[in-house]
Amino acid sequence: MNHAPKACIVGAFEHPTRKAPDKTIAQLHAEIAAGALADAGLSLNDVDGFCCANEPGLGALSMLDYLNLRVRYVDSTDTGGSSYLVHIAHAADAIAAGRCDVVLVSLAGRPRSDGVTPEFNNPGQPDLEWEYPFGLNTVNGYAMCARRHMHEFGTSSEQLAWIKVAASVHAQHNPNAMLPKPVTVEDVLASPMVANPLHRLDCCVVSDGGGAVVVARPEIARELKRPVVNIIGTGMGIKHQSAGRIDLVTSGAAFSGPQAFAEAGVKPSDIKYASIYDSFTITVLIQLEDLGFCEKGKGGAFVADGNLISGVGRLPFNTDGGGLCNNHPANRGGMTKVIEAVRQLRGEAHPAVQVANCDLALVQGTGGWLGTRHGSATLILERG
Amino acid sequence: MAYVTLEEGPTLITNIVGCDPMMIYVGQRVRVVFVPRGDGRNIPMFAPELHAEM
Repeated sequence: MNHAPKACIVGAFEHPTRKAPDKTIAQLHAEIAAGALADAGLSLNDVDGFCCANEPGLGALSMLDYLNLRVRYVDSTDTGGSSYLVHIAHAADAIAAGRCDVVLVSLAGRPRSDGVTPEFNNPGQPDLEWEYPFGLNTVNGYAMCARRHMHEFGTSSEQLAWIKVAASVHAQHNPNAMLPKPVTVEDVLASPMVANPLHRLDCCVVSDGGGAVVVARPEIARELKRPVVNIIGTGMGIKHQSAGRIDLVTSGAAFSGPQAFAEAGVKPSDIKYASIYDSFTITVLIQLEDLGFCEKGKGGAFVADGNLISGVGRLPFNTDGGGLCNNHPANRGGMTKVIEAVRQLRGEAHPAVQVANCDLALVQGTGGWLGTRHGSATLILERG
Repeated sequence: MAYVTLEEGPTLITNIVGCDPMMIYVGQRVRVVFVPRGDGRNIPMFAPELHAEM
């Protein structure tokens, strides 16, 4: 916390829907934009920058046309579920460079209604011949990471299950959560095996919906009525197979985390609340290690016994229930991670999960596949 | 689904075949088998090596 922020988050909105068969993706974006701008106390006319990823039609161009936005800054970088953290980092830089003043970062999607599983079988993919014939998919790829972590460090299914338990304890206070019922370690272990060693309850939900945040110049943020959230550290990294030198127990957070901590001038032990991308329980555990909340290999012990539960443990995480229990709109969990961190820093999380004196939060996103190639982004946010 | 490291160095994504999946463990020695994939081409998969701990 050693210098003025480049930009601030001044508005945030999470769409309450979890299933929207009667709405288009563009319509969801419109509802989300209206919600985020109303939260900020701004209007569409104030927006001069827009970010989204992987939208139908001509992507950001189609959405800008639909929303009738006139912008001078646009970003549709696509690093999967971490895209929205990257957009926020880019937006902060663009604002600091004087390219724009108010940027709307938006996510919407409806994989639950469409029932579409992305098919990674485009002949142009360099990895196609080496992976597709063997049936590599999302769950079995993450299962290999979990199995390797167990092999190298003795991590247990019980320890992974504690991550789901913590998320479920939080989700019971979220009226919109898809899985609001608290579960036990035994419940997780008794759920059907999806890809050994990952059980059904080690996996996140599939949901429609989305959310948005509004990033603005600090001078503008100070004039608005809502509590200000400063963006004080950002980092990005890409982790892949390093030409055959596979490391299944390290994520891109090992690259993006140190950048964000260095820029912010803080350390992991300073963080009061963490939103951690939770496509699977193993995703959380590996990222916590890579961010320095515990040593590599000690994540199992770190997450056990409720250490991620607000009011109980050392590091409250995903107090909205996260992707594991609340929602995972568009199969991209980065945006909702940011939104819950904003709630915590504003003191507007549910009272049962609000972290006392929450003045510093970390948001960690990944996107793509942990076991092959993925993007990572880390944000460190401070109460203004 | 598995990553297999070849004695020659490279590591590749593949499938372990010819055994009960529950009997597979990390570090097991395996041997390549070429499996027809139906389009006239064969792809490399791996089966546990007998007497693997020799």
